[in-house]
Amino acid sequence: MTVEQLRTQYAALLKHADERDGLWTVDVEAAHLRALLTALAAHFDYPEDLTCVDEGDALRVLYRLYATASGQVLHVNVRVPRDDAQLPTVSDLWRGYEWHEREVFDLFGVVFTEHPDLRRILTWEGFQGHPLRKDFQPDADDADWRIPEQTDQDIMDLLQRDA
Amino acid sequence: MGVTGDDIAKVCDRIPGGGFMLGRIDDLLNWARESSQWPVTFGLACCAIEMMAAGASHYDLDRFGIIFRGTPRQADIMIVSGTVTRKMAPVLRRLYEQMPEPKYVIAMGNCASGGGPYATGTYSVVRGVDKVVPVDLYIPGCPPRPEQLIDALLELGRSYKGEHALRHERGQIFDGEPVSP
Ligand code: SF4
Repeated sequence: MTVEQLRTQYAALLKHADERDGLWTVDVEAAHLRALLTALAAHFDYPEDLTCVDEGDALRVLYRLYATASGQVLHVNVRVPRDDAQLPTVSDLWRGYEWHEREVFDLFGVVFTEHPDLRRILTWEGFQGHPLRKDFQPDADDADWRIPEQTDQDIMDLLQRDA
Repeated sequence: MGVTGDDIAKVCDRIPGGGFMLGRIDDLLNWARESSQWPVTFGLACCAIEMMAAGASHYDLDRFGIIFRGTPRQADIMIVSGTVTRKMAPVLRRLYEQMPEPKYVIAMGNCASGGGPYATGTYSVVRGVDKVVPVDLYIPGCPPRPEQLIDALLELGRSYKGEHALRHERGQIFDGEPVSP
């Protein structure tokens, strides 16, 4: 596959596709994301990364995919509005993205619909807000932070749930 | 104690091969504890690398009888080396509670002592592990050198003298002037 073929084959789905220094970058609308990634999943079989950039007016979610057969790397960019950040999950196409989507949800507040288990992954349950958004305000100090009380039963429940 | 002569045999065990030993149990325990400190490692960030270096062959903590343990149940010292996050804090506290008495905590590095570089503008870091467990010794540095950790462990060991471990009475941990690194 070349980036030309990619562009013509998926013209209906892509907003933009180019190549720089061997890296392919495509932009896609949120509505077409699942269709495009479903088509690409067979070739780009290794999910290298999934992250997000707060661009101020929108959040840009970035899928970095790798094709083990050809060695090609592909970046898929999709922009979602800050106040209604929603994308369909692709964790059924690549299991590895299950945790990545939880991370982007936790830190940027992008909701991945149909995700099997969309809980916070780095911060703790009960955390308010999404800390890597640029408008997030960290606490000035932790003077009134107290270590949460945990009973033995709480621990057993946590272990059981995460097993 | 006032035990003499033949009475000794009634209160002391005979050492195999002959002879008796009479002494203060505190002295014996403190000597044993000082000569075999078993810290449980709580490596949480970059400082843990220096802790590992202190334990590895170049600095060689083993020569002081200091052996890292992988479980709190066999340890008398907890070395907290690194950044304590609010998510980790309950786990740290739980492991501390599993340690048998008498137990000590060393806060290694600026993060464990007071939040370090994350003391302002953070959303997840606890500003000092003393908000979670009582700390006996703080080691400054980002990260401290392995020599500082060794010094802290030896200083802690020296402080056992005069403690009544069986009565849970603590001695003075550090009575000198703080030394700048
Ligand atoms: S004090 Fe410095 S070296 Fe130690 S854990 Fe914190 S940031 Fe890392």
